[in-house]
Amino acid sequence: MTDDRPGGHPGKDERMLQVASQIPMLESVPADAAAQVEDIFRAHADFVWRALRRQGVAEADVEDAVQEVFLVVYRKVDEYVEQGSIRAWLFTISRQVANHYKRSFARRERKQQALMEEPVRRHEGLDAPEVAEAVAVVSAFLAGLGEEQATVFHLVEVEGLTAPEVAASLGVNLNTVYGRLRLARQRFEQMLAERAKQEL
Amino acid sequence: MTDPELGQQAREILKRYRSAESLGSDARARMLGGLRAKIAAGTPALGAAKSSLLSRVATAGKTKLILGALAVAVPAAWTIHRSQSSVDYTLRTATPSVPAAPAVTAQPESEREPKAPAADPYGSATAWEQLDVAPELAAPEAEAPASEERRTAKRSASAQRTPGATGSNATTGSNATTPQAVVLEEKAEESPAEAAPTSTLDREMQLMKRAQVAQAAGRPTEALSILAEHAKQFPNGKLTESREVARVIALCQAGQAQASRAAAERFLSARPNSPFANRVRGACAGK
Repeated sequence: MTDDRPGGHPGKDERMLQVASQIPMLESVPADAAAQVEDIFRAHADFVWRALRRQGVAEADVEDAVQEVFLVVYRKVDEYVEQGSIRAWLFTISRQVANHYKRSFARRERKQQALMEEPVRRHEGLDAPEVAEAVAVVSAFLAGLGEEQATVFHLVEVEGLTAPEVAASLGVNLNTVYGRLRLARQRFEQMLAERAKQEL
Repeated sequence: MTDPELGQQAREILKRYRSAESLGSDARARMLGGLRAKIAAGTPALGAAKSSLLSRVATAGKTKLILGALAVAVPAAWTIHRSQSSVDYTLRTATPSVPAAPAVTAQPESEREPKAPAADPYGSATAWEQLDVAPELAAPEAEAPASEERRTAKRSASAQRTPGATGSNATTGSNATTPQAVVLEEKAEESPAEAAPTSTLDREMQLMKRAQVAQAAGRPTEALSILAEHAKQFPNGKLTESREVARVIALCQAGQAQASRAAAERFLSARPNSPFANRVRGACAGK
């Protein structure tokens, strides 16, 4: 039994190497990562929150998921080089976190749809009617749109990202983004026009 | 945002939608508070390593699997740990500072009270935790002496590690001058000749530990081949999950980002509830 133990314990020099190899990593780390993350949170918490909800994270999980996103930011903030938009980066992380929540809690999520919890929106009371209507209209529109178009539309029209930012964040071709955006815009206008007709 | 293609009415509706779909200040404060707490829990106060890591694992995985899966947790701890230590813990420090041998040696006794990060020899913190946390994770209930004894009775090999480790801390305290020295002693203690791998699990752990060492030393290719060896010998071993986590990390480390992500995908679809899901997901993100 002892003989078929694969290999032995590494020599001391290797262990020394192990310790030494960690030192450069330590030095490259920004000391104020936590402060940076808080700044990013203050500036973009709403964006991340919306992105997570948009991507189907259950209402009850959204707060946790938001924290999760910013914990990832905290871990990776040193890896993030100013390569473009911070929001594109945040959205990429949000997508991963959202996928996790959707997968892990799919069953729970389904249950929760029955007893949807109160969303933590700014307007705790009743929204003004035109605002409530806007929420209903846009939510219904996004829900009826294919996921791909809805994501692009949301990021550009609601969040104000540029098409190149969206392309980078989704990892798709810029022309693809423009194509999806054009279609989504057309549909949105169409839907509004139909609504207007119905109201007449 | 200029939008030549959407009409005035459309933009107005979107604006209202955006204004309604924003966080309340309470929720915002709550989240920021939670975030701070989680970040603080991740700071490399050596003494706090136990609780913070445990809570972090729990938070990350949203599952209590870890508490039950004793055998899996032992070697798995290093994967999660090693990677987190190179990220979380190290994030907190710019200097792999002074040896501060007394702080190191005091560590086992002061597990209850977190130390000021400034006093910590971070150079050793990462290495320390790789070794030290595994037994802690293995026995989340370690504070209860009874369970410790049960463990001792159950598996002598693993039981020898925990007291052994503590013992070495005490002894190295007198002569260790650098954190590295402590680590070396610690590691020597960890490969006890007397604890020959007798059970399958022990042999699995041996392999995983070797992979850990290789990976920690920056030799991901070697780690990968050890992991492959493990896969060959123990295709359905108890540490399969740990192996897969380690493989995702090692692949990324080896520059095979695509393979790493593919392995991560497979892992996540096969084990969506793994306590290491987050770790796996983040292993090669953005590379």
